[in-house]
Amino acid sequence: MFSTFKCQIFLTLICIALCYEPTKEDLKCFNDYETEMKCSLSSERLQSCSGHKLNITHPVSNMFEKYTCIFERNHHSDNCECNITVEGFVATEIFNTTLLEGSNVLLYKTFMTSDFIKPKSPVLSVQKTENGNFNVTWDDQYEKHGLVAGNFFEGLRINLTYGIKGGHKNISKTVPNTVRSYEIVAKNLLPNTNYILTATMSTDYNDHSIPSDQSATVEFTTFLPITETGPPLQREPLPADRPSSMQENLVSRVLR
Amino acid sequence: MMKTILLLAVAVFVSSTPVTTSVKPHTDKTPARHTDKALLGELVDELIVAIKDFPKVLPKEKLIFLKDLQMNGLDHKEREVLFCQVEQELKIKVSGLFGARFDHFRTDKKLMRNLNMYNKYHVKTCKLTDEKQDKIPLHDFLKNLLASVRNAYSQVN
Repeated sequence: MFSTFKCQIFLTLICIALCYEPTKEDLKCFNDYETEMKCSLSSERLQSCSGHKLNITHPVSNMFEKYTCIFERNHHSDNCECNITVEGFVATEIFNTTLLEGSNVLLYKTFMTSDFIKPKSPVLSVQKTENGNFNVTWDDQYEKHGLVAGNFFEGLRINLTYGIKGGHKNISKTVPNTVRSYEIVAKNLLPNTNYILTATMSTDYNDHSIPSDQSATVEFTTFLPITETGPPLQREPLPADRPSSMQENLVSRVLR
Repeated sequence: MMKTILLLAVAVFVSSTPVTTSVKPHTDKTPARHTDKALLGELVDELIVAIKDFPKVLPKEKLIFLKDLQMNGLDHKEREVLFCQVEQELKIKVSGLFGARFDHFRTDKKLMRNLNMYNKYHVKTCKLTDEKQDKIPLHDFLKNLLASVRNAYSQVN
C-alpha cells in the first residue's frame, strides 16, 4: 500500500513538472463591444492547442446563450486563440467560461463585459494642410447603426504617438474620439525629417484600462524651406519639443 | 520524512481540483456609477433608434397602445420603479409581436437587455399598474421614456 502511495506521489510530481496546468493569467479574453469576443491561452508549457476549447455561457435576459470557442495556434503570437461572434454587448452582462482539454475541466473564469472591452485599432490618415501643418484623422472602425455618435463612441479616447523615425523620443497626445482630428504643428518639428505616427484607442467603460492594439504606422516628412534667392537655408535643427519663435514656412510632404 | 509526504499529499490534492477564478465577479450590489452611466447612455441610444421606427403618424390599425405611466417629475426611487414597470410593459405588449419593426424590442436585443441589466441592479420586481389605466401610442410612450432616461443619465454623468 505504501509503495502504491509512493507511486501516486511520483506520478503527481511528474505531472506537476510536465502537465499543463493553466492559471487565470494564462487565459485572457477581450471584446470589441461590437460583435467579437477573442480569447487567448498562453503558457510556456502548452505544447499544442488541439483539444483545448472554451465553453462559454452568457446569460441574456432570462435565457442563456451558449458558445464553444475552439483554440488554434496563432503563428504570429504563438498563443492559442479562438473567437466567437456575439449579438451585441451590454456593459454589465457576464460571460462564464470553462476551459477544457478534451473533457477535462482545467479552469473556470468569469468576465464582466465592460471590464474586458478592448476597442478596435484605429486606422490613421495624415494630410498636409494649407499652412504646412499635418492634420491627423482616424477611423475608429465602428459601425454607427444610424447614430451620429453613441454613448460608447463618445467615451472612446485616442492616444496618438509620434516621433522621429528611428529616434527614441516620442510625443504623445490623447484626445476624445469625438474631435475626429488633430493637427500637428509643423514649426514644432525638425525640418527635413521623417516622422512616424501610431495610435491606440481606449474606452471610459473600463476607465481606459485596456488600450487597443497599436494602429498601423503612418509616415510623414518635413522639408527644408525653399527661398527665392538661393538654395535651401541651412539651419541648426530645432528640437521637436521646443516651439520655434521664428516664422517659418516649411514645405512639407506626406508619405503614406 | 513525514513532513515531506504531507506536503506531497497536499500537492496531490491541490493539483486535482480545477482552478476557479473570476475577473470582477458579478454581484447583485449596485454597480459603480460608470456602469449606470453606460447602461443609461446605451438606453438613450437604443431608444433614439427605436423611435425612428415608430413615427407619430401611423394608420390606426398599426398603432400599439401601452399604459400611460407617469414618467416625469419623479425622484430617483420612483424612476427606478418606473424603469422596472417599463420593462414589464414592453415585454408583455411589444417584445413578442410579429414583424421586423418590433425586432428592436426582442428580449435578446440591446434595448431590452440594457433595461434588464439596469433593473437587475436597482429594482428587480415591481408592482404592475392597473390595466384600466389610460393608454398612449407606442411612439409617445417611447418619447416620454427617452426624456426620463436622459434625465436619469444627466444625474449620473
